[in-house]
Amino acid sequence: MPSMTVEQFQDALDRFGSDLGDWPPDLAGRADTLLRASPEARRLRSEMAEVEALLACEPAPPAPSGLAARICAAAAAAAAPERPRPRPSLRDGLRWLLRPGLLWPAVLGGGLAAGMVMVPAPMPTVDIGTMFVIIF
Amino acid sequence: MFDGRAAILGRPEAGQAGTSDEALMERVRHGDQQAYRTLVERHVDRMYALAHRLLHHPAEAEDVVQDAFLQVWSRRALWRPDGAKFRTWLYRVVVNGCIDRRRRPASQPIDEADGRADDRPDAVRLIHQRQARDRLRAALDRLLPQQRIALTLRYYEDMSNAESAVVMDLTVPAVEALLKRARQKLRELLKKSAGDCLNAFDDR
Repeated sequence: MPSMTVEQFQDALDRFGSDLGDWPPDLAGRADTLLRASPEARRLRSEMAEVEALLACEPAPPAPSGLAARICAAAAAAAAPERPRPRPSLRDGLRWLLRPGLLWPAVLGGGLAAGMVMVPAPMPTVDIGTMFVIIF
Repeated sequence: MFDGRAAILGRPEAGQAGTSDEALMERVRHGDQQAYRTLVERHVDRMYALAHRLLHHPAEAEDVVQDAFLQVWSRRALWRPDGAKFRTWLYRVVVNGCIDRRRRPASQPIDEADGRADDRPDAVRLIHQRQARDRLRAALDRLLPQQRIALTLRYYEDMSNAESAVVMDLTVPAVEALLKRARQKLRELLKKSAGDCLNAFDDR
């Protein structure tokens, strides 16, 4: 088995971490031999283990309370089928027309229109002589 | 008649604890909202922790997780049981959501205030721990986003490099290279202070 240099060890340490169990078996075997012989290799490994231990000290931030419920509520809102609007009936149309705000203008407007249709205004008749008198 | 809205908002159905994610997702694919609720409750804490570690921003982490789970619902018809594991798929959606967020201009995070710390007898110790965490976070913030994702999946989600490669849509050697650069940089940044920082947690 070829021996491993400290530089090769450092490279593998950065690639696979301080736990030799995560290393490819052949590299782990050579690293183990080096670690027995080299204080520098042991120092490097210890340094990496400290960094990893520090990472492990960072606690998992808990999810805000009620997040799952809010997600489910949002999905439920998306899942709720949109109700189709019913077609307006004649009764709905009349009810709309007879709303308090529209009732009296509608009655007045309707009455005016009916009056114009039923009682046409007489056309004014003016003879040509009267027109000359008016103009001059 | 089955009331979907009531089901999705109601209590999780008893007896689903042992059901696999994939079996639940198969039911979700057919519109089973009870199964969806079980999946959300099963994974929400872990996904929030992941997003928070990648963004260091509670509100944005919450948005990412909410968007991810809503995608699970809205895109349920696209789920293929013969494809990736549900967990891997969910990780990928959350990680991509975090990458998108990091591309946007960041708002100032409102960090959770630890107002109780000063009332405790070991206040000094808690302050030291907080300082150690701040130093670690500052170092993590100096990593490239892809390096930080690889590191987070490896050390906090306990993923193998092969699993991380699937989540990150990379090859295994590419993940190894990212981890190598991330460890090198952290080692450099924390070289002098890692031991001191660890002392703050010596009751671990």
